[in-house]
Amino acid sequence: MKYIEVKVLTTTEASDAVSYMMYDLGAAGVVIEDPNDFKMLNQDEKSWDYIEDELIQSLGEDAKVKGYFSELDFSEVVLNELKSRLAELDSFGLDKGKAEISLGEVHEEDWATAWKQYYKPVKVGEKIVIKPTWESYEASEEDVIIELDPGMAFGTGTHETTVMCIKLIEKYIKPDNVVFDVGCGSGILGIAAAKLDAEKVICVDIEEVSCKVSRENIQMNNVENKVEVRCGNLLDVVKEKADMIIANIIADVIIGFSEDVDKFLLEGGIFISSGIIKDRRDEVIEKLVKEGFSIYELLEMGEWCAIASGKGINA
Amino acid sequence: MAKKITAMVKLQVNAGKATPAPPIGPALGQHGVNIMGFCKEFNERTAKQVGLIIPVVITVYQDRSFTFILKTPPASVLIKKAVGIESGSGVPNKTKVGKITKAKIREIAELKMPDLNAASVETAMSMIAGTARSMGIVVEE
Repeated sequence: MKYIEVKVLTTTEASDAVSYMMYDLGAAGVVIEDPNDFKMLNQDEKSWDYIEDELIQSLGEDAKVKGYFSELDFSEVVLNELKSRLAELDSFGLDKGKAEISLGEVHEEDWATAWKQYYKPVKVGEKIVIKPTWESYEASEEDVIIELDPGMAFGTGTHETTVMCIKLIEKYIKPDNVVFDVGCGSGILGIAAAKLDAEKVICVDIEEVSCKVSRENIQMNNVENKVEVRCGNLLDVVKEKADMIIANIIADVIIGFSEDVDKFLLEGGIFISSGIIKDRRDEVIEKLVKEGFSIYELLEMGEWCAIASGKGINA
Repeated sequence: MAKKITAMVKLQVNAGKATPAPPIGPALGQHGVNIMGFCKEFNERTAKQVGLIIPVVITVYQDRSFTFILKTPPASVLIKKAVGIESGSGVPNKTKVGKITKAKIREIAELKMPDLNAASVETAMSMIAGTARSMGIVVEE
């Protein structure tokens, strides 16, 4: 089965009208890619998400409406109909923009499984190997396997910030440690700590989805007897103290958190912070030092850095 | 986490009926998103709205994890509902299929305001009115 992708370059204000036309003419589905959506998001300063300007620029100025027609539902007649209806848009008070139409073909493929090609088992630290459930991996004696399928929570194990955290956990964790994973996402770091012989791990996230996904992943890795997930703000949901606190979040949150982290650390405890973009590195270090932390180790990968710090003698 | 976005895609999907077929497959497949994971979650969240087309905005992050937000129904759907018609006109300039009041337009604009890239309700209203006219619906002054 073949699909015809009909792409129309138009404006934000006309995008709803154009997608209606597509459905009216028999499209099986519609996709809208609008650079204004990105611009709006970047203006939201409270958001933790961000988009590089280059990506926004690469999207151009036009809103793109793409309709997918099955081969049988598409013909010259449909195309001409679309053309004439697009041409009329201005007369209805909508700026139709360029109203350029281009056609492409999309061949039926196994979309349900094709995305899996992007994920392979990957050894991220000295021991930790992250493996999608559908892949097989021949483990050596030293390997510690985490089974993890990518999904709705950040932390598939491929991201530099996650990789650096795992390296630091491997290096600084001791058996019987109590570990907090703050902003746990997929739960990957908490699971890693548990598999590296932590006695108890508490994963915390303010997002419900992350907590749900973490619980699923924890079960899949059979560490539910050691790892607990709590939904909410660390300060509200945790009263215990830890030997190791991991926060793979963003610079601003880490700067804020560094004032409170001491309340949660046992004597000689380690604070691993990551998700820090290089531009903000010095700012985070300065704040940690001001709060009385010594910097034990700084890792850098790509545009990110991770810091191991603490108030005791360097472990 | 420091979540760098690599793609943001707005789809219109039948509530409770997401499948890997177009538009979802081609739109998300190229970004390496777990498509079955998305379909399952979307269908669960929209199970009660079967029969409606729901716009959904999917955000894909650098590590190929994703999140999505359900939006208000498309303007065209709300317009049809307000006017009480099944479908718009195929020849909107010639054949008119209904009328809609300014008050209704404002109501729809206000409902959709959070999802529109509109600076004011007035801008949103002119977008909704234009969409209505393009469906062969007369906007009453």
